[in-house]
Amino acid sequence: MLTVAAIALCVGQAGLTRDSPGARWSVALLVGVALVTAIVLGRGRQRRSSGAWIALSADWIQHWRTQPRSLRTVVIVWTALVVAVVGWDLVNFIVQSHALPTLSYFIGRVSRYQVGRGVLFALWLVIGAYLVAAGRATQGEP
Amino acid sequence: MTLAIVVGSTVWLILLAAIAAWSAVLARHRELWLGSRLIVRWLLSSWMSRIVLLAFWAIAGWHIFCQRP
Repeated sequence: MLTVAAIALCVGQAGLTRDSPGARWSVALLVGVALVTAIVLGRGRQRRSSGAWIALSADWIQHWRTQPRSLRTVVIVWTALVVAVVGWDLVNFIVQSHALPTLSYFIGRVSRYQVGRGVLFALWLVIGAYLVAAGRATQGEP
Repeated sequence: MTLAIVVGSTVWLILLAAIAAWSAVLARHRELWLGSRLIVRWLLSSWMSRIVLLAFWAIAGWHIFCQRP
């Protein structure tokens, strides 16, 4: 049922344009639903408090040399890739030159077509569902 | 559809190649793949980090579907 609704949403969204009220209302509504669902699903099932998360993250960074080598590699490479993509996008956005297209520009080349917009919307929905539901503590787990 | 290869596009292609190469490495090395999953689980383990990720997701959705063509 949920899958059918999601597919219908993607097909409906594919036929909309960025300026249409339908596109804005549906995205805003989905964001609201995602937030409410995250809160409902997460009540008492979040693995640690935000304070503990910050403290453990700071501790990990402070003692990063003692962490397993594979984990250090993964953290360093992912951080470098994310910083490179965000940094380069930011530079292109600030300079505003045709020679320096932003990531948005490339996404716009895809989302201007119905199929591209529908596929991007499906991808966005999947990511959102994962962020809402994944990584919850199961019963009896701390 | 034509897409002129300008300086900025070249850098994007290099970044795309780097992400593809790293994905290939992850597919071959189980411990690196599990490490990547561990990072995601870590980011979703507290309310604060989960809400921050959801905020980025919401902003991205609004930008892509309500602002871009």
